[in-house]
Amino acid sequence: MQLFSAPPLERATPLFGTLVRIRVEACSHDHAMEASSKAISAMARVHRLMSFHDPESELSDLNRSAHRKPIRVSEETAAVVAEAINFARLSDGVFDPTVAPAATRAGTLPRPDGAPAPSPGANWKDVEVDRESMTVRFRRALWLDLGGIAKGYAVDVAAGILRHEGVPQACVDAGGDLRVFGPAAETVALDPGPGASRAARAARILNGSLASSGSAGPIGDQRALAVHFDAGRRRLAPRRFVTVRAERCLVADALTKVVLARGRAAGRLLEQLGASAAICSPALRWSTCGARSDD
Amino acid sequence: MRSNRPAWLLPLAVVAPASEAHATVYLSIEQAQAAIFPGATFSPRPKVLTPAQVKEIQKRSGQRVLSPRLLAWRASTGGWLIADRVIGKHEFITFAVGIDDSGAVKGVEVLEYRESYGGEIRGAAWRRQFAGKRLNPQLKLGAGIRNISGATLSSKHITDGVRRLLATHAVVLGPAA
Repeated sequence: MQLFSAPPLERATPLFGTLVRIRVEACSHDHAMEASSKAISAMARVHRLMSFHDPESELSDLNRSAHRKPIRVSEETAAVVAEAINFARLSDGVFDPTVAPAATRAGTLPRPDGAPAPSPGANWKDVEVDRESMTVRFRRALWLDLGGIAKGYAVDVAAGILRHEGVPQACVDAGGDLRVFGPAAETVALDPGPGASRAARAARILNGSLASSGSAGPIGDQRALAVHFDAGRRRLAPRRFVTVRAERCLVADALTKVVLARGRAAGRLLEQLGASAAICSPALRWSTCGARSDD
Repeated sequence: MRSNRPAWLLPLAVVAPASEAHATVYLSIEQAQAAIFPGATFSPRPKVLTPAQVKEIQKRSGQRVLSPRLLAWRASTGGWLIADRVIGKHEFITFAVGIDDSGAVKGVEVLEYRESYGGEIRGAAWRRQFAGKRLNPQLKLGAGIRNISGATLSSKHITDGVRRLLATHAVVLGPAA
């Protein structure tokens, strides 16, 4: 069948501070272009809405004003804020989307333009989302950063669009946070960082997602901002590298932070969410925890 | 290591650091044109920047202009497509930017991404494709490892390049030019 001899279409564009790559297989070139264009537009929209750096984003609007009054946001932003707060609750604050001030002090995140100084001690419990009225309110001034979760959400949105457009096989990869669907499995190399090639592993993903985080990345590496701090604003003990497999990329993305902070103690939460993790220690030894997956 | 390791975690053969360059080709210029400006036709309008223009672009963007040659196309539906390249620490990237007539970015497409060195895992992964059959019978030759989790590909140089091309558009192609 000519359809399946069509070469895969692969596109790449800069978003979320990384290179987003979409590969679409087993459909005609025109179909692949149209579907991937819709997926990229949707990811760019998530980026615009939820960027911490962009003063025009809805997130920046929240950081400037949500401590004064409820701020109306898009359905997408309300959904991601709600998910972020849910993960904070599930992880007892180990995943906390309000740790931006600590990251700003450490110089890994710029100070947001025009946002008031955060209240000392403000945390995720001060964030209220009303999914009915699509509003977000902060009980105290704080800086919300969706960097630990929005990228995974965008990957899920893009994969959903490709599937809706009738694409049979695809991989959406936002700098190593990726989602795969279709009859063929995707094999992904796991890179624990410079000088650690002997610890490299591979992951085989069939209809699911994978996300990785490392606390020992190269200098200037921005990939694990919120990860560097726990709920007590302390720098985390070095787990060199973790990879989480889950159905949704948002879940995998958020859980990498929890596993990086808690190691195998995060196993129960992973199991509860149908996710599993592989952890590489600074001595380059691997261990695993969470649900057993059978693919 | 717990004995019930998840089935998705596989060993990866470790090889000596790769010395060969690894390139991924994404879209051609024509495909990038069609992706960013659907339905438009394009007329090439290559230009050579004057030293004064180069100076002004560098001043506005804070980025160094690598070449005075500007590869630009005018879209029939309005707007411009510019193709350019950036050189990072470990990579060489060609890309295309679509800019509408208001001077806003309409889309960015990477055309080719070439890692000059440093592809430690990439090299291992690249070779693994051909050993994949031994690793796992379900791996198909040529359909093996194309993604790496953990090694974030650099996008900073591309976003810097986009900023430079926005300045180039304003200085050379825009209504005020």
